Amino acid sequence: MDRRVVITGVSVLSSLGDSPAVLSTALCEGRSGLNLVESFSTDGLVCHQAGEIRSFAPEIYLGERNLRALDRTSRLVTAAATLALDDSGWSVERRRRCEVGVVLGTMFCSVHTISEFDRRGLVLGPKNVSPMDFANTVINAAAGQVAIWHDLRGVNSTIAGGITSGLQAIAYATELIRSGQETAILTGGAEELCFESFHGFARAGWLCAADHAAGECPIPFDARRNGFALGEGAALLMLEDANAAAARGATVWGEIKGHGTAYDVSRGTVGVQAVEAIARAMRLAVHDAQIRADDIDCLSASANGSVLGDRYEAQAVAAVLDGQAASLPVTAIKSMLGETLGASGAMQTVSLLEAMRVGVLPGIRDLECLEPDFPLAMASLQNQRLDLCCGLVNSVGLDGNCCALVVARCDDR
Amino acid sequence: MLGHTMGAASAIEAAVCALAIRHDCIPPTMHLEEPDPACDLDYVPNAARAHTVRVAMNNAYAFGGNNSSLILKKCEA
Repeated sequence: MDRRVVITGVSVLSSLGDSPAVLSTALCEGRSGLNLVESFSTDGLVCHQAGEIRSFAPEIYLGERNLRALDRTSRLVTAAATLALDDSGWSVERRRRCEVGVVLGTMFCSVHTISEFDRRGLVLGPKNVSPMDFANTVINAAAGQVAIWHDLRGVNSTIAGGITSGLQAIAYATELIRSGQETAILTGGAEELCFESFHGFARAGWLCAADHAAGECPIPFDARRNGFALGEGAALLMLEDANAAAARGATVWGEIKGHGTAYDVSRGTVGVQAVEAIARAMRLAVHDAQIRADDIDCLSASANGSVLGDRYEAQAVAAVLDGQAASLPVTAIKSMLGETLGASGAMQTVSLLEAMRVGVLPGIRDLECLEPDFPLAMASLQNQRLDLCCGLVNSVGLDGNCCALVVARCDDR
Repeated sequence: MLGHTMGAASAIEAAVCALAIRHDCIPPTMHLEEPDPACDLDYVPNAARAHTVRVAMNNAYAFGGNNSSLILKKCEA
């Protein structure tokens, strides 16, 4: 029989705080992490806001030495790992005796570092490219850096599946533990905000537009929505074999019950196919969790303000819940954090675990008017005080990837 | 013979292992004239060797510290 996989530690670095409790409080107070971008110019673009971590100071978590070799994504991941390892009780001494793996989800790792490498070569000539930047141009740079920094000697994998990267990383790590290949894995996702990805998404027409009648309106499920705002951050979970966690007396946040993944080959251009792929991922997750769809107490939606993406997700949830979607409590935290890409699924999972712990599901900031015939009637501006035992996390990519995760609460905390 | 094909390397090697099992033939390491005494293994230099291959191990070691091994076994159907 497969092993059960439990969550023994979590961490989050976001524009709204650096702990699940601080993030949850901010979300429930309806505070927004979205602000005018400070770290680069958005002149000439239609969007000017993002969920930027303005105050991020890696030395708080990592000390001041040896930071130079780490780019911003690696710093986010390595700092988040410090917090998750502390939370889970995996001390330096324990890590010396037992192997911990890393499975990290990221969409770009650092397109900024790649661009800096190119820029230096173009400006100063190819002989002057930076070997330090070169080492960080690979998409698994952050996973390697965090393992080196924290002495994590188990599996070291990077999952690149666009927005779904973080959730797919959790799913893969779950399978490695279920199969008995690994006992403990630090997993989740990370993404930095940078000039290059911001301009790329802006030029591709994905970002919320100030020239729209509603202004920049990245509000999930709102009828006025006109695109998403970008964000950045990292969220990690320590996953462990349930028996091993119990043997060491670990405190347990919750359990990964199931996951599912599907791909929409139309990449959102054919509505029926997009809805079917999102629904298939959710059905696979429910099946893997060995529950019924109506056992799900709440949904952390992937919705980010995209006009079509949000609608397809809502229709898919309605299809899977077969008439009960109207009574499903829904949160969509990208209304306050922005679209954090490869980090988003993990940030939703950590946020949902905290919501389950405190019994409050955050409302959707600035949500005023749902579309006519919108199937998720419980998507609300208001926080909902609920007894949440089992939650579904959705992650829907721009590239056709769809992933869903079922998590259950444990009452250790 | 192929150079280091980076991310593709171990997948190409896995395919070559499968062919070695299928054909009972170990492809050689070309141009291996002076084996390093510190690398003391039974290499197959410069010419393929006919050999019954029931099980093959494929190793991959990366610059960044990653290590991975895959074992392929002949199907005895």
